[in-house]
Amino acid sequence: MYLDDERIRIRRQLPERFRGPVRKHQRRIRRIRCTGILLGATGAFTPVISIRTVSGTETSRAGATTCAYELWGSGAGGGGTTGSGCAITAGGGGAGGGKTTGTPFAVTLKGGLTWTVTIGAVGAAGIAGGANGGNSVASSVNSGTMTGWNNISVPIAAGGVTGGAPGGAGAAPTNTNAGAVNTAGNAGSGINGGASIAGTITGDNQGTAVYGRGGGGHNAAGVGDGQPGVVGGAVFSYV
Amino acid sequence: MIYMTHLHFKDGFGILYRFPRRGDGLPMHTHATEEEHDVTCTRGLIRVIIKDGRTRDLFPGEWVGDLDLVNTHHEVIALEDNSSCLNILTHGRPLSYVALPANELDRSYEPGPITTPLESI
Repeated sequence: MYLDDERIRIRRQLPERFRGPVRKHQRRIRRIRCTGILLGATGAFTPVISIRTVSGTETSRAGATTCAYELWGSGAGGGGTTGSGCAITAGGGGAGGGKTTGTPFAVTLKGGLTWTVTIGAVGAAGIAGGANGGNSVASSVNSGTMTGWNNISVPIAAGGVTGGAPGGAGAAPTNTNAGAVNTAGNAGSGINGGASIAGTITGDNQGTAVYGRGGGGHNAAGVGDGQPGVVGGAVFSYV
Repeated sequence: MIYMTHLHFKDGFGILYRFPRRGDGLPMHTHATEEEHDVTCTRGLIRVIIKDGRTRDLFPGEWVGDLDLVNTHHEVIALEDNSSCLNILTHGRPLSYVALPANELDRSYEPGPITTPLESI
């Protein structure tokens, strides 16, 4: 397994938020291997999962036949409070990032070809005293040298408003590859940030949101800043 | 429209609220510990209403500081035109106020609706 190009040998090397989803994925791979053994398969490719939470170049693994993928946009920031004393108004929560996925992409004989992955910046926290939460920046997976790939992207998520409304739902992602499923980011709800969208590769949202959650706005019990959004991510699962 | 002004005095800190009309006030709210305060009437007639139904009417010079306003939702209403109250923050100026812009320290604003109907006062 690789996280932002760093080889991960044991789960404990991962940030805690990834361990649950990765464990689920490892079990899935184990089931695939067992099935292969029962069927007498002799394929030598060891499944690889690559997680990217920063921008970079993703290289298709030689020997793989398909690559399941998911791309999450980053979350927007929550709004800060306005007012002070007995006249504090809470900030709105930032919207969550959207998500796109599709049918596993065929990568037979495409080992070494690349995608350019851009993970957009999270939305900044809104500062107390009149600052909205920041919008996040769009994320994308574009073909570098990869063939047959239509570029995909997830648009910005809107920041929560200072002393007011949460960020609204995002626009739908762009993905015209086979079996595309495009899910717009969740709007914030009151002071709560928009929820992260569940993943299918890594079993996301197992108790805690993993990618692209919106930052919360600050409550009205005191003067304070909102929270920044949570970073999005791209996951590539080679089988 | 009501008016609020931050007041600093050595380690002390308070906020003066001025209510031009009867029925103006500070809508039902609660606080974090660092915003804990008492209420002193400085002009007119002020009523402090606790969500559990308790009330205190304050004439100029009278104050209330025993209602646990941190953990209890409360509302402050002017019962006369041109009333005002000074809320002293028990723990001094909250650290989170240091970075507030100048326009937050002395301003007029339209508060949210008062929970208690004026007709019942």
